[in-house]
Amino acid sequence: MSDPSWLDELRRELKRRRLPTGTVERLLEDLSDHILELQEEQMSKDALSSAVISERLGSPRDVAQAADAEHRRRWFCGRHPVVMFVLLPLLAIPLASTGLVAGVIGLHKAAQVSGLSGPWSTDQFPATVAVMGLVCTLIVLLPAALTAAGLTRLAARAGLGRWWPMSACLILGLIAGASRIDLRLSGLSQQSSLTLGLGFGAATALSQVAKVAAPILVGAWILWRKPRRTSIASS
Amino acid sequence: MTDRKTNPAFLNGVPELLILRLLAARAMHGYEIVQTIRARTGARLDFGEGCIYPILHRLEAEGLLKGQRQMVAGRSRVVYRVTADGRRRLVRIVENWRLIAAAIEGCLKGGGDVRPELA
Repeated sequence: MSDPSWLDELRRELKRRRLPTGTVERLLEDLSDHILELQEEQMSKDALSSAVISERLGSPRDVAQAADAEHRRRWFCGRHPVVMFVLLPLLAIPLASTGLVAGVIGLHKAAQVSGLSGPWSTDQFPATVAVMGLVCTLIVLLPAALTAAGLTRLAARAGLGRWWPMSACLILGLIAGASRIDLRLSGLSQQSSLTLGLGFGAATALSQVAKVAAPILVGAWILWRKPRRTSIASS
Repeated sequence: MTDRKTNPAFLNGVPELLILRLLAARAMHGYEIVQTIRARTGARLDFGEGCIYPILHRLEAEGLLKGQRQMVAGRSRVVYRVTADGRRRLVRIVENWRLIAAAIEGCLKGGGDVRPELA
């Protein structure tokens, strides 16, 4: 019979650290076995006290901390940071932006088919040219910012330092800033156009600055807002 | 060790090395691993016994160990054995450890020859 309070406290610590249920249950199962062995070793018929268990196994907080650190070391991004924080950002914006452009075109087509004549048709509603410019900026900026947020959070969760996520944010910013999308949707058949480009021009537009800055600022905000988590891997 | 329950981070890589080394010799369950480490190190590396399981689980997730619940001495226990990948990792870790140990030993032996010439 193992002491329930030590295990209960450990369970609370593990849950507080948001470790997966399977990991928590497996650890508790192994530790219950270990406590039974300790009990046999001490030839005690009574449950061992939490103090005795802590003396041998460590405090629930220490064990939970070790479990958290080891769990983070299992992460793919922890073992393959180049893939996650260099290669993935290179591919993320082209893939996500292509998807969003396809989505906008699909919506436009659907609107045409349903007789709405395309709510974003720049030939019928000249004022929508500016709106479409904003949409084209957001098609690049949003994936860049969201990918930066995701990778930064992932790096923090996996206990990596700031170097990898900030490198990823910088790559995302440069690709986003260099990407140019000009989408003009027409109500007339075969009149819509999509222009894609890559590169920095002599005259840098405000939208380009925003696209470069957004992922970097998002990543920096997430990293510096939260206290860094230490790990065995980074120590 | 002054701190009896040494933080595993302080012993970065050492528990992994010891676990793989012991399991390369024969399969063991968690409690047996802890007791063997304690006996072989003269209880000098007496880290919290509970911290051994997260390491075992991580090594298992990495495919370096394989855990299997089976009856041992009349009780159901999870017995761990090292895999072929685990043996390869062990070889690398041991080589690194010997290099580091030799380097540190060299520094310690040469410590008396250091002269603060620029002082």
